[in-house]
Formats: sequence, structure tokens, C-alpha cells
Amino acid sequence: MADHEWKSGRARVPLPFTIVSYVVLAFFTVFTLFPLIWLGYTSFKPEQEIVANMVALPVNWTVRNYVQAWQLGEFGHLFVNSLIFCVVTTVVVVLLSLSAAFAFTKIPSRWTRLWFSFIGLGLLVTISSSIVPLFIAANYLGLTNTYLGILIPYVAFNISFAVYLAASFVRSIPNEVIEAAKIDGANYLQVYRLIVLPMSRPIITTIAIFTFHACWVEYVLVYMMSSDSSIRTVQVGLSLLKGQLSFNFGFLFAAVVIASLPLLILYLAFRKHLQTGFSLGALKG
Amino acid sequence: MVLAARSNRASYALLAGPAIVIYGLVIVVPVLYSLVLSFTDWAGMGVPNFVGFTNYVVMFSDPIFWWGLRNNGLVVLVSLIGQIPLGFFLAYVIYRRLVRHSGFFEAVIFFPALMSPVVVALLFGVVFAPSGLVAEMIGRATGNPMFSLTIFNTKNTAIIPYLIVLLWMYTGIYFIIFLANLQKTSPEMLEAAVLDGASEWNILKSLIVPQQIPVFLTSAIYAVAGSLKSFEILWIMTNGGPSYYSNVLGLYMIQNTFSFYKYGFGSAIAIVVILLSVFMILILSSIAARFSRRFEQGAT
Repeated sequence: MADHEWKSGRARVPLPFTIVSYVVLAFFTVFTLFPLIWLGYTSFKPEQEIVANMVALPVNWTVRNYVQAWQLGEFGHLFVNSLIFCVVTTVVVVLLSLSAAFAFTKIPSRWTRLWFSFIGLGLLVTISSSIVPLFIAANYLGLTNTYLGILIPYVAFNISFAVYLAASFVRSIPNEVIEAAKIDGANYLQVYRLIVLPMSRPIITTIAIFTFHACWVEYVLVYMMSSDSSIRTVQVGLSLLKGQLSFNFGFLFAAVVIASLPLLILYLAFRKHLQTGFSLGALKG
Repeated sequence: MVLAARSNRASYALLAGPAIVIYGLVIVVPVLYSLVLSFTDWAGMGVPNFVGFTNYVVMFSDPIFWWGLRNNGLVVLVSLIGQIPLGFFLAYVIYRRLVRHSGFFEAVIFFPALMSPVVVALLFGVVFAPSGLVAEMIGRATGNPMFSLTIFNTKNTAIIPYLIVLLWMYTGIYFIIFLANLQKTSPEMLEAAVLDGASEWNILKSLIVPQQIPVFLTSAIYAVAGSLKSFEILWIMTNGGPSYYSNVLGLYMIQNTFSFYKYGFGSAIAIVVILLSVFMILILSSIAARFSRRFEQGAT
């Protein structure tokens, strides 16, 4: 039925409209894909060929760039750090944001309005814009070069948006379900654990994917907080490769591909969840 | 009853407390601390001296500050006249299924928004380098193999590659926002319009655009809020160079604080950046509120 309606709607599209649509889309697609495709094949190109012709496809495809990038970049260590930060932050953010959202939407309190807008203010600041105060505080507390110095800000800066997402979902859980459990003698903590958490699975996935992504691509905090390699992540390691082997960006691009694979997998597996998160108004550049 | 109320309050504190506490400690306290530091000459060590508004006066008489603000303004402009209209148009085309393979296009448009800023900066650093990809392509097209891309070295043009990158990367976000909102439009209304013989242009102009005005306004708020806050791409791509020509306020803050060890001054910049974005968001949201009120009145 719906399909039929669309077709009848589409039949009236005037030709110029269709042409303009295709031109804009084609332009945007080429513009989007070409740098990525170029990045992809250049990473398999030997250095001499890049120097000779930057645009052409490789003649002798090679994985040498990848071997070199993995070893010089110490990516094994970087991946472990990135994973630790992303997984721990994601778990903590999911638990804290859902519990706060549950309290805000289902436990009557005159404080809720105040706390909710207090947390909402966090949507206006990012790690980048508060990096100076963050660094000063972390330095004062001796938290630079420590895992906690990264994890605590990661949780704090991801919590506002997560609470906002979680509240819009938990609000829709019928009050009757919670009242029934209360009458059966459960307290709010039990309701949270036994009812709210299991029922919120769809929004938990969205929050988790979204938070994981935000942590994976974060750069400024780890860069500023790490004066040695102990807590460096994939993004920071990657940025430090820039100066090395400066003319061989085949090597640099191989590192870029290595660093981007987890994101590509995340994207292919969870595109819908990422889209939901972004469509609800995550702030980016 | 009193007991129940008390236990409610305890559960409320237990459930909402951790999120509020960690958020308050990490986000609010350092900002307040930085507000205090912004009135001092602290250099990262030793005892800070109170200097009143000196940092602010120095900042407002520094041409680099104003040039950074100018570049931030251009970033906002690229969102307002580039990313948002383009994102809307692309979303409309996909939503109305004006083209085939919409799933493919959807993926292509959205993907750059997910890439890491570091990766994007490294990639486009090479693309726009004086002897980078663009230079080589122009050189091959014009038969001048020694062609060097220097038009982005001047004061006025240095920011342009960054603006192009922003357009490339973040149009997808607005595309996704508009697509999600367009999909809420009732199909019956469109069907009725089509049956009445409305042209595609009329549907777009009289039905869809008025309906999406609130989304345009919220997108504008995101654009303004986001524009002041992120600078990592620029940091890696140009580091504000050549000279300070591609600087934005965020980079100005980082350089003063961490390269010149002017923590008090850097804190003052941080405060100005935060105040500036809060101020602009307040203006925009009051415009948005007035607009939507008028829109509702007009509709009834």
C-alpha cells in the first residue's frame, strides 16, 4: 500500500528535479568516495610509485606499508588501550545514564527539573572546549598518564547525551508495570535491575554504540594527558606518525586503514543505531 | 508513608546521584576553577597573582584572537549555508525516493561523519598539501608537473581547505537529522497533495519546508554550538598555520596554554569560548521559540 502511494507520488516528479537530484547526489558521492578509495589503494602502493605518480593505481601491490605501520606504530599496545577506554566507559555510561533516567522519569521528586537541566548543560561543552581546566585539574590531582585520568572525563562527557536518550525511552515504560512490581514488594533498585534494565535493551544498544564510537575517535584528551606512551590510544598513536617518514604516506595511509577498521566494522554492524543517536542531536563540529 | 517517602528519596539519590556527581565534578568544577584562574597570571607552577581583567583586555586587543573569531564565524557560516541546506536537500531526495539505490547513497553521505577527526585530518592534510593530491591533479591536468598549491597560503584563504573538509565530513549529520524528521511526515498528507495534482516543487515548498522549520532552527543551534568546540582536525591539518592564518579560538587557547604556558590567559580564552557559545545558543533558541510560536499561530 505504502509502496503504491510512493510510486504514484514519484510518477509526477518533473524531469529537471530528477536531474538536479542526480547531479547533486553524484557530485557528493564522488566527492565522498574518491578520497577514501584513493586512501585505500595508496596504502598498498610502494613508495617509489607514490613519488612518481600520486594519483595512479599501484602497479606492484604490496603490504609492506602495513607491516611497517603495525610495527612502527606499536598498534597492538594502542588497540588494547583504546579498547579498555571504550569498553569501560560504555559500560559505566550505560548503567549510570539509565539509572539516572529512571530516577528522573519514574520517581516523583521536585528536584528532577533542576537536575535534568543541570545535566542538559553538558550538551553544550565538549572535552575540546574544556581541555584547559581539565588538564589543570588532572595535573593537580596527579591523574595525567593514568587510566583514571581518561576514564573519568570520558564518562562525564558522555553522560549528558546518554541521560537524554535514556530518559526519552524510560519515560515510555508504562507506570503500571513499575507500580505492579512495587506492590509486589520490590524497591526501586530492584525495579531498576529487574524491569527497567531488561526492558530498555533497544536504547541501551543505541547508547552503547554511540558512546563507544565517541570514545574511539576521541583525540584531544588522551593527547594532552599522555606524556609517555603508557595510556596512548589508536588516535593519538596515529597522529604521532604524521612526522615520521614524512614523504611516504603510503605508510601513513596503511596506519590510517588499520586504525579505521574497528570503526568500519562498527558502522557495518550498527549503522541504524549510530544514525538514531546522531539524528537525535549529538553535537559534532 | 513517611518511611516510604524517605526510601523513595534514598533510591532517587542512589540512582541519579552517581551520574550527577561525576558530571558535576568533572565538567562544572573545572570550569569554575578556570574562571578563577582567568583573573590570574598563573604560569602552570608557583603562586598565581591576581591581575583583574588584564587577560581579557590583552585578549581583546590581540589581532590573533579576532582572526580566530573570524575563522570560527566562517565555520558557522559553512554549516548554515552549506551543511544544513545540502543535508536537507539530500535527505529530501532520499526520502521522496527521487533516485534509485537510496540505501547506497544514504550510507555514502553518512559515513564521513563517523570517521575519526585524526584520520580525516591526516587524509586531507595530504590532499591539500602544497605538493599533495590536489596539486598533482591540477599539475597533470595543466601539464605542469611542478605545480604547487599555494593559493591556500594567504591570510584570507588559509581556512578554506578546513571549511571544505567540514562540509565533506558533517553534511551527513544534518542529512541524518532531516531524514529522521522527514520520515515522521504523514504519508496520507503527501498522498492527498499528490492526488490534488501538486507538483514536486509545490510539495517541497508548501508542505515539507514549513514543516521542517523547527528542525532547521535546532540544526542551526547545533551548528553554532559545535563550531566553537572542536578544533582537532585543524590542529593536525594546519596547526593554525601558515602563521596564525587558519587559527580558530580553540587552537588559540591550546597554543597559549600549553605552548606558552600562559595558564591564566588560556583559562580566560576558555571562559570566553564557553560564554560565547552559551550566549549564541541562548539567542538562537529564543529566535527558535518565537519562530515556532508564530508558526503555530499561523497554522491555526
